[in-house]
This record gives sequence, structure tokens and C-alpha cells, in this order.
Amino acid sequence: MRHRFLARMSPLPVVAALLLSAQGPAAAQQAAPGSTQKTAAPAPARFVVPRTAWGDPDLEGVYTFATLTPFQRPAAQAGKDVLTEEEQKTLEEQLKKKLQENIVTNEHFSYNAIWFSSDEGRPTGRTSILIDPEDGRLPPLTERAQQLRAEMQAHAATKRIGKDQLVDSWEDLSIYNRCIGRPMPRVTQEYNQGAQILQTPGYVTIFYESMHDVRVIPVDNRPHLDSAIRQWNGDSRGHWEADTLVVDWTNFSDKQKSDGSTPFGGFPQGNLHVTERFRKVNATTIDYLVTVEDPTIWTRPFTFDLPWRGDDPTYRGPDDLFEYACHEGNYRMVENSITAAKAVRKAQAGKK
Amino acid sequence: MIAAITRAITVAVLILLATQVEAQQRGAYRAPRFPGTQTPDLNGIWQAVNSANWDIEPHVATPSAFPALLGAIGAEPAGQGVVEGGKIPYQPWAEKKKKENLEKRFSHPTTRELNDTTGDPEAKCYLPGVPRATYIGLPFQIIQTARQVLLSYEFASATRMVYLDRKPTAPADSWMGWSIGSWDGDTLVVDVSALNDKTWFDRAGNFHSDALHVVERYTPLSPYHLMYEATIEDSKVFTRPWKISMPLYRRMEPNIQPLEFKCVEFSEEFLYGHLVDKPSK
Amino acid sequence: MTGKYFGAAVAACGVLLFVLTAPAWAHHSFASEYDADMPAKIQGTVKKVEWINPHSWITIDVKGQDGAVQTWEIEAGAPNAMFRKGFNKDSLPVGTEIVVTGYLAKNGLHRINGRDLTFPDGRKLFMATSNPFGEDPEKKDK
Repeated sequence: MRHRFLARMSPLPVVAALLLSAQGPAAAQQAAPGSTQKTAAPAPARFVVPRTAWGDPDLEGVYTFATLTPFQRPAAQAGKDVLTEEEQKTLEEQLKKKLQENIVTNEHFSYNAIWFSSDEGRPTGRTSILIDPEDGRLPPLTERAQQLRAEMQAHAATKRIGKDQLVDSWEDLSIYNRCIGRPMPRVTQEYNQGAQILQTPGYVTIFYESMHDVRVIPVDNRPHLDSAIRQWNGDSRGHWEADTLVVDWTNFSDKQKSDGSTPFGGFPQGNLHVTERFRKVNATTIDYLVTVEDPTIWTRPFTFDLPWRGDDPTYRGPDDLFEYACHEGNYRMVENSITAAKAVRKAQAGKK
Repeated sequence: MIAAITRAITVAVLILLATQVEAQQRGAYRAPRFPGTQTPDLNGIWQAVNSANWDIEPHVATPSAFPALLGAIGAEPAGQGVVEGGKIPYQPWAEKKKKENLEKRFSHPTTRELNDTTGDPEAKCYLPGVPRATYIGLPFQIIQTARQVLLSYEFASATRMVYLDRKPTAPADSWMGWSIGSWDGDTLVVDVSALNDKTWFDRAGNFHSDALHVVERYTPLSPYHLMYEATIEDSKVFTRPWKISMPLYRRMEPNIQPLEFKCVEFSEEFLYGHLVDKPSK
Repeated sequence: MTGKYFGAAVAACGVLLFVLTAPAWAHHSFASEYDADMPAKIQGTVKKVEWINPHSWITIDVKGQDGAVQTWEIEAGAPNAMFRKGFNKDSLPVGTEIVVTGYLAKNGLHRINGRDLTFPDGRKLFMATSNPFGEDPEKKDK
């Protein structure tokens, strides 16, 4: 099913869009001088992927996958997939302006927006990160998933009084707020969207700034872990297809719901099967193409495209990925939340 | 011409033999090089095999903290100690503090202040710091490239980044410290600073302040052994620097990989149980 | 000071290609910890700064009208982005006077989220692209 998708979606517009967003002025040089083309850029010059000392394609670097492009295509953009160079430029300017306003008015964030300001990223060049289904929206849910969603919503309703969300125990916090994990696969977060790729013979390792998660991915055709072993971050196995690292990702635990900050809906991931494709498209950008399938949750697989950019001025090297010791600093937040819930319930009882 | 070549070859052979004899005399093992470098390849999964995490000083076997609940499971095994010279050179005030730590090591933190100052951070699934992460009892992976080393520990998915090609300054203290690495022959030397004061050296309450400075040495001894040494200095707590050492064993099972020990969920009732009216169980 | 609810603010400006809604990742912990209908503004001197994850904490001493000193804890963001901009653990010295607007914790503790952190003259804290207490030749009033 994945191969059918790849044949239908030509990679060229994606790459062209990525090159436009990644290269800025250089992209203008690539277009014919004096050209007044408004369509997507012509086919870019072939980028030759460098090799490691032992001959594997070299994906090493420090990247950020921050972007303000939404995961799903907004209704206002229905039918529109790739932005033209002009639309791209206008959007970037608007986003920059919005960023400045955010910092001044602090409109969107609970804490001073300055703590997030470097993590807005750049647009991907499309109207959504999700590129398949073609409408840029998640596929319909199965009956089981609809049932699960109804149950989750019913449960959430018991944890709300008016505007107050109630945390009666640590289990009422998301996996993210308990500092156990972040969504996998990783998609846009509010902040700390840095990642480093390190390569050694036989392995590709991804270190994620957020939650200091490490995935050591063997590329030697060894089998997956026994299916009885389930992990929050699953189990990854990679292989090379020409210059592309293809990773097969399975063995997720049902405990992992990628909740708290997710576009996927917060469903248990025990049946999740993810295929990732990492390919260097220029000196500083990796095209990260991911197909997600779980026939018990979605009626068909979906695919998203999220560039990893290595040219962000604040992610210059590994020392820009400061230790994210989350659980260690979480006592006050949990204490605040649980005692707040008690106070709200008490006030509610007092009113009756 | 032929004589000159023969001479050259003889000299080369003699030099080769000499280095091999010298190596044999030193007992030195020469590890394979990391591709593209002249430095040894320490990549792999390693584990300490001792009871240092219970107590880095020499100690006898003792019952667990809850023998009625656990019986012999969870009891502490004996250990010959990994501290060179046997005893940690505490300042007098610190000797008392260590005893207090030991007595209160399983105490539940009922306030934030108590949580910051009391109890074994391992029980709370907090990052174990350096050097405890090395011998906390679970394997860790060395992911070494030409420019840096990523140490990935199974315990709490702890990680440390060691920079080989740069010497940046730490912006703030951290649980696992700030590590600058270099090579001394075939030994990886890691200088660790900017450690916070919240970690312990073991379950026996051995502790340090935020003035802690650790210098680690990882030396390949054989295809399956690294020698691990760590020099500890902390002028606020100890009377002089001191040292621990132990071999690290390569996990050589085929297809071995560190698994997850994400212990946050195991520690939540311990940490927050006193806050909830009705515990989850 | 009117209470403003943190909802999704939709950006509507001219030829906008995107409807810029607030991210769907509204910070859960805010809704469970703080009361958006209880805004607060306090001024005090910095007693301690914890540059830690997931939230930095700034502890300040606030002198009440009766002269009594109250200690308040301010919850702020993750420090990683600040470090990348050149700030570090010395960037907010003890004794600095700061003004904080935010929302009160629901549990009645002296905790507030640091929505706006400013100097008494109105300049925003951490707005500069580098550490204002570092190379700046201007002497700061403490």
C-alpha cells in the first residue's frame, strides 16, 4: 500500500518545495534568471549525499523539526497542497510578524512566549504536514477507534468542572506531563524540537532533545524484538535503499498514547506500524517522510512529510541540546495539579 | 638497490616486532580503530558486574529494607568495594550527613523541600548522575563517532553527551553533568563538571555537593573489557580527591540491545502518593 | 486588571494564507494548575533562579504593604531555548527587582505562572538577544 502511494505522489514537488524553504536566496539563483514563473521551482540540481568513513550515506547533524505548518490541512486551504514561491514568502513574513506579536502580547502561551520564541521554525512549503490522504486530513476512524474516542471523551468529562481540568492523581496527567515520553513518531511540539543523528558502523542513532530519548537503529537486517516485548518507543530496524534510510518501527506498548501534545488522537499504540524514510536533500536538510498505519484505529494508512532542518541559527551543535531532565523537575507541577483539583472539588462541594 | 630494499624491509619488520613485544610486555591490548580515526572504537553495550550501586565502600550482606514483604529478594549482597583505599575521605560534617542519608534513604518526600534534600534519588527514578550511572546495575551503550560520544543508559533512559571536538561552557548545572572528552593514548578521558548536588554515589547515602568534579577514564583491555576509573573531587565534602575503578564487561549476546527501564511510572506512588486521597491501587 | 481567558486566538490579518489558530497543544498543566480568572501582578526581588526542566522556577521575595515579606514562586518555561540564545544560570542575578504578571495557582500556594516578566521600567526580561547582565556596560540597579 505504501509503494502505491509513493508511485502516485511524485517526490519532485516535495523536494522542490523543501529546497525553496531551505535555501532561500540560493533557490532564486536556481530558477532561470529573469524568469517570471509562478509554478513550483524547476527540478533542482542533483545533490550528492556524502558518505561516512565506512560508506553509508551520511545523515549526521543537529536538526530541528520545528514548523508552524499545521499537521492537518485547515479547511480554509482545502484543495491546496503546495504553496508557490510567492505564497511561501508572504507566509513567512506573516509568521515572523505574528511571532513578534506573540512575544509582545504573549497571547498564545501560558508562560512568557520568549521561552518558546526560537522554536517556531519555518513553513514546510505545503499547507499541511500530512500529505496522504490527498485532502491533508487524517483518514476516518474505525468503529473500534470511535468507541475508544467516546470512552476517552467520557472519561475526560469526569475530570472537568467548568473551565477547570482536574488532576486527582498523576494518572490523570498525560504521558507527556508525567515526563514519561513524547509522541512517537515525533511531530511538531511547542518547543525543544531538536534532534541529533549520529552514525556508527551498523547503526544510525537518533537523539531527541525532548525527553532525552535515544533510538539506536541497527541497519544490519537483524529481526525485531520478540513481539511480547513492548516499549514506549517501540523497536526500530533500518536498512538503506540507495541514499534513503528506511526504518521499520513496531513493538509499541498500548501504554504509549502519544497524548498530551499529539495530532494523532491519543489512541493506544500497541498495533501501530510506522515506516520512516530519511533522505538528505541538501547539505542541511533531511526529508522525513513517515507512513503510519494501524488498521484497528484508522481505516487506511496516512503519510506525513516533515523536513528536519540543520540550518537553524539556534541549533548549531550538540551542545545546543541541553539536558531535558523532565521528571526530576516535575514535583511542583504534580503537587500543584493535585492540590488544585482538591481545592476546586472542595469549592464545588461548598457551593452545593 | 636490492640491498637497500632488503635493509628497509628488515628495519620495518624489526620495528613491527619491537612494538609487538613491547605491547606484550605492557600487556596492552590494541583495540580496532574507529573508521577514519586513529582512536580506539569503544562502541558497544557494556555493564558493570558488582554491588557498587548498593555501596561503593566494602560492605557485608544485609536484609532488604522490607524483609517481611520481600524476604531474601531485595537483600543487599556483600561487596569488596570499588573505592581505592576502601574508605571515602569525608569531612567530619559530611560523615554525619552520609549516615543521615542512609537512615532516611527510603523516606517518602512529603514536601518539595524534603524531596530536594532527602531520600535515594534512585527510588524516585531520577537521573543517576556520574559516576553512579556506570554501575547502577543495568547495561549502557557507548555510541562513539569521531567527534563525540553518546552514552545511553538503560536506567531511566539516562543519556550523556561527551564532546570530543569542542569545549563549550555549561549554561547551567544538570543531573548528568557536562562532559568534555579527549584521548590519552587509547584511553578516553572524560572531564565532567556542572553536576548538580542531587545525585548520590550509591544506595548507602554516599553523596556530594554541586562542587563535584569527576574525571573518568575508559581504557580497552580486551575485545570484551573496558577498565573504568573515576577520580572524584569535591572540596566542600571530601578532604582530598579519591578514586573508584572497576572493569566493564561487553554484553556479547547476539543482537543484544538495551531495553527500556522507564521507571517514572514505578516511582510515582512513592513520590506523589501522599498527595492523593485514594491511591490508585 | 481584567481577566483574560487563554483561548485560541485566531489571527486575521489581510491576505493570510493560513488561519493561524493557537496550537491544539494548549498547555494542559496550565489549565490544571492556574486560574485564568485570577490574574495577579507582583513585584519583588529575585531570591533564587532554577534553570531546570520541564519548567524554570524563579523565587522572589515580595514586600507586602504591611512590610511583611512573602516568598512567591514563579513558574516559567523550559530553559533550553534561552540557553541557545546565550542566557545561562547567571542571567538573572539574585537581588534583581522584577515585575511578574500571571495567574494564581488554584491551590492557594504562593505560586504564579510567569506570563510576563519585566523589569520595573517595563523592559521585558530576556527580550535581548543576549545576556543583559553579561557584556552590557550599563550598570544594573540592584
